[in-house]
Amino acid sequence: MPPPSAALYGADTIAEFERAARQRFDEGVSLANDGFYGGAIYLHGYVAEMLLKAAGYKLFGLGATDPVEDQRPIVEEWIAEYVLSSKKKARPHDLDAWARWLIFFRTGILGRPYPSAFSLDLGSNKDVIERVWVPSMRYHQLSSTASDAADVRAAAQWFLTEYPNL
Amino acid sequence: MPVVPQQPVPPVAERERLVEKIARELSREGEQGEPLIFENSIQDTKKFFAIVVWSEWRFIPTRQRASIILEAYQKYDEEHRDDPKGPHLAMASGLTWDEADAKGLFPFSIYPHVRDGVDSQAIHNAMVQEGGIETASGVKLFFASRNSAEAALQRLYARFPEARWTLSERIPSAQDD
Repeated sequence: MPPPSAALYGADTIAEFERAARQRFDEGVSLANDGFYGGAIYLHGYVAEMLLKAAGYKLFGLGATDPVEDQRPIVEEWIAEYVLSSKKKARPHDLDAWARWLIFFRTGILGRPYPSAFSLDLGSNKDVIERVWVPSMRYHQLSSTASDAADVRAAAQWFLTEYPNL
Repeated sequence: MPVVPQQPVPPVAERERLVEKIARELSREGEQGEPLIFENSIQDTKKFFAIVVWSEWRFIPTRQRASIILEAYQKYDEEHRDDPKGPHLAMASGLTWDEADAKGLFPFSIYPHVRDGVDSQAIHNAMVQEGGIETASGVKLFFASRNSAEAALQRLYARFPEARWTLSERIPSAQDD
């Protein structure tokens, strides 16, 4: 069954993830410039999530406008089987699992591993975001710092810039 | 424009100390203490993911941790030239114990219940001897598997039959939050 958002905004696709990531990034920058650091971090975390997922689905063979919903259960099964080695589904919004999935797929399936420096950068930028970002932060009053917001913004910018190489 | 403070870079000597400590740890397997290093290989390739869990990361900006870990692997390789690991490091994460716990890296943990008549310092010392780590909420024992957690629990009960402990398992939510 398609998710409820499909009726309002159309199907989730790689092309939509790419456009939304750019929009969330710009919105986050505006928030940070006005001193709303928690809101900026919240949106910039999703930039990384959407681009990791877009890159993952692209590697899996989806076209830009194919609905990802059709392949989501299969990809999540693969992540559980090969990346988490637990047979359990990844936690929702698990940046680490998606980053590992990309590295796993490129290395173990396609035989075209990322250059080491690139995959280490991928991990570092993912870690910078995960240290302070969790979707449930929206339920809390936040006292995020300018420093954390700047770090997360730089990491989100890395994902935008390097997305074509993912 | 807001003021954006930059993160400090650890002094060279401090960085070298961290690199040295991890490199030493890479050479010894299966012993207790910090840092704790996980290596997960990618399929049947030589590539692997590394996670280094260590209290000392709390002083080190997240962005600098991977390069410190990589440097440690390169240092390790200097003495293991026949089978170097550094070139195969695909992703390196440095996490404090609290960060690792928050990510669900250790699904099992043990913590004590303080009771009258039980020497809390002795309990504390026993947990540290078992590999317990000081966290914001007191000393905690973390485990990746139920078997190792239960084995530690048995040892603690044998030493302190009058004490009470909780073995807790983190169940990740499958629901979108």
